[in-house]
Amino acid sequence: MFVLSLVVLLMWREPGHPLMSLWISGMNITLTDNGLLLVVRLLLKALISMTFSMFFLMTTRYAYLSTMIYRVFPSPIDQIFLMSYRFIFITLKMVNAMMRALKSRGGGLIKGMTRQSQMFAEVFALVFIRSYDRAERVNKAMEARGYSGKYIAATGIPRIGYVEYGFIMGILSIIAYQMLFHSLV
Amino acid sequence: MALLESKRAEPTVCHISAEPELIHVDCVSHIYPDGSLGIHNLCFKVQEKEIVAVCGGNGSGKSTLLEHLNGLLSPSDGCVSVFGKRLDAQTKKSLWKDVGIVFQRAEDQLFAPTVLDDVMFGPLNMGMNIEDAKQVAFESLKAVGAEELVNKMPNYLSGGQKRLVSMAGVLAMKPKIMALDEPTSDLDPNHAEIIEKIILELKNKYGISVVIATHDLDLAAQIADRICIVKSGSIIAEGTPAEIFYNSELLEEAGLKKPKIVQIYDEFCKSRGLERKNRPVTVVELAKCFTCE
Repeated sequence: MFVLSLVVLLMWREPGHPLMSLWISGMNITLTDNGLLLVVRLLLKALISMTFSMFFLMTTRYAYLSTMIYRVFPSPIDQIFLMSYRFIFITLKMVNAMMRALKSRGGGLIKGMTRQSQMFAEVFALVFIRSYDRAERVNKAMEARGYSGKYIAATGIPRIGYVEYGFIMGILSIIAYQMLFHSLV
Repeated sequence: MALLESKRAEPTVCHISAEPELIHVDCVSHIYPDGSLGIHNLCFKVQEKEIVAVCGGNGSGKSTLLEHLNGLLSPSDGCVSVFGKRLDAQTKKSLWKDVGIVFQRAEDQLFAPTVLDDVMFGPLNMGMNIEDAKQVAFESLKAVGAEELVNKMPNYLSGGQKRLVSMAGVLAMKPKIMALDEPTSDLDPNHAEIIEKIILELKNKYGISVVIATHDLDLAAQIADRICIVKSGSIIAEGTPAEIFYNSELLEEAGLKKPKIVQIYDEFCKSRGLERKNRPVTVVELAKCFTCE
């Protein structure tokens, strides 16, 4: 959707055979065949990137991923990533607990629009305050073990096996073949 | 027993013994930024290879005291000395290596993606290389009986397991003193017993001095060599478990209840019309009393 929102703006500027025209506030904008092709191409690229990213994330243990990020990304990006993962779980747990507590006393999300918005605001504010409080406590606990701003991710990552090497070589061969002989990319 | 007055106006008396002191908290006061009083004129010491239990009700200042031992909090007044050196900005920087602290909420202490990573955190900060840190982490996890959790994610551990891992994380730094904040709170009896055994092992096997802040007097009675009763930020009494736990007025003043062993022995003596000759505080001592009397 994010890519689509950008492409929708770009597609009107592509030169080519016009398909349709629109008059908006005295301005004439034209959609061309190349514009439409650009939409399809960019959406497909985004889809492929997302699929590969999901495939990578869902088949890699987080501990390995965090070590890779620690090795590759500069500080503080790696530190933010390493810390945020656990906090996502903690925050979700906190929200769940709060929603359960709300429901246990007759609260819920079906009491009318005003009440619902108010409740969401209350939950959001509480989560923010409690997360801040918890972050303080976690920082204190980390300082007590010598933390001074640098967290080292030290999980050992297993070496790539022959099967994985074969898979990567196969994929690269297909890409090279497509690029050299079919120029589809 | 050194029964100290808890009056705010008068400073408490510091009893400095001839025994080697690892930590000396000398008339320390701490005021939080919001103006609330954490501790007031508090004197406290930790000696070699002893288990000290700091007992008191909620909000009595136990946790504040513990955070002063590790240098996480600085006193507003008074001074803290560790290994004979007065704490200042410079000495505080490396204090975490010698005084480990296990927090009340184990969940706050675990942040790494795996248990192994979390336990390795302290040793890596000490400058160990990854292989050595891993070795030490394995040893610490084994020491607390949590070696099977090594590759688990902290999110999926039970409360008791989290507590064991957080203890291993501190033990891995091989501190000379360990401060444990409410080590058995929220734990089932089995896990509480495991923690109890580990604390005794810390002292007997590893020679670590242990300070526990707790309102679980049953735990304190079983394992502590010395008890300090805290009320309103000051230590109002200090002594052996037998001296403290058979002082009903003192416990009442501090808002605490006698340990179960003491209650049973009191009832036993009362029902039989016996005089309280002995003062058992552990199960073994109580069993001996029953067989003798």
